[in-house]
Amino acid sequence: MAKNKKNTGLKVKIIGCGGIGTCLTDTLCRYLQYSDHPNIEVSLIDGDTYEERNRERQVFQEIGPKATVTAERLRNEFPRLIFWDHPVYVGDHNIIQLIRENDIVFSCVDNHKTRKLVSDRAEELDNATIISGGNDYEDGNVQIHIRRDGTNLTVPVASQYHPEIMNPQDKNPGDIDEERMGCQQMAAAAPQLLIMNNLIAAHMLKAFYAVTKGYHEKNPQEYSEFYVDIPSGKVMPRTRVVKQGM
Amino acid sequence: MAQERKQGKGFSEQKGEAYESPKQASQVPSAKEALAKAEAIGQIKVVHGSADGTFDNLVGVKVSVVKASLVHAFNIPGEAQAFVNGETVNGDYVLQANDTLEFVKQAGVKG
Repeated sequence: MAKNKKNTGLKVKIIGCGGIGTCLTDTLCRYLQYSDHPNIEVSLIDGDTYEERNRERQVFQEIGPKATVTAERLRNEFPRLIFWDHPVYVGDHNIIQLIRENDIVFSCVDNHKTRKLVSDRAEELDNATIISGGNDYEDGNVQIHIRRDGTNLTVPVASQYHPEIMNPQDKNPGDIDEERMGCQQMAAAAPQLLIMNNLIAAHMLKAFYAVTKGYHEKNPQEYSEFYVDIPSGKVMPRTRVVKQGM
Repeated sequence: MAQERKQGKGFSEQKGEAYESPKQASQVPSAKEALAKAEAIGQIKVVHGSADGTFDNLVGVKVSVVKASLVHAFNIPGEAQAFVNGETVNGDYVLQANDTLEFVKQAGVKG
């Protein structure tokens, strides 16, 4: 935590327990378990269900709701942390309850519609941190939206830099007829690389560490976004300019 | 010196070259000098995702021309939005010395 902030505990929300989410949760929770943060709550949010075919990229011990199965596994391993499971998709109807003041949100979702929802919700709050990751097959990016006292220190996830998130053309999984186009069909249409999921998760965790240590305070715009690319071997931070009133 | 190497001057010549290197090092411009020189030339940084490059011959060139030139080298999709120094610009913007031109790569979708 930043030195000048009152240490009132940590509320972490992980939206999406799929490829990036399962890569991220174990390391995050192990770090938190042995950290000096008091009163740590971790909420796992995902409306999807683990199936056998998920095993090539996702960590789970039983078939069932991703949020519940993951929370159960982590409760046993990290008893100092308090886990909440929300086996639901984030939508207009529940986002106010799911994302609240002072939350640190890891957005590990697989669609821009949900990223937009989360981004818009963050801007309704006075204090929130959104760490959003997404990947294609061999590259991806991480965005870090830091909002303090009603002011954006870094650009929101949905901003002029990313019109594809500002005006998403895809759908929230909760809005999709699962018999017609479930997550598995979408996954089949766009295969993913476990190594890429892992890279994005690692960089999201790096961002989390930097923000909780207050490293962003000196030059927050340098902590806005970075790209990760396997073929070129590059990790490239990008400066983003916060506009007044954003 | 390179030509001398080709002529096979051997080990002693290389040793002599190593001995002279401290003098040569003093002739290498410092980072500050290099930066000042780059600013004087008017270099322009062009970025797309993790790809980037610095060019010293783009001052006065339109963004649309740069995009067309680098579309393959930087793998820039046609719909990529251009930003100069963080501000949105259209293809008619004429680049000025020390601009940073970014064609913003779309965010990864999957997770």
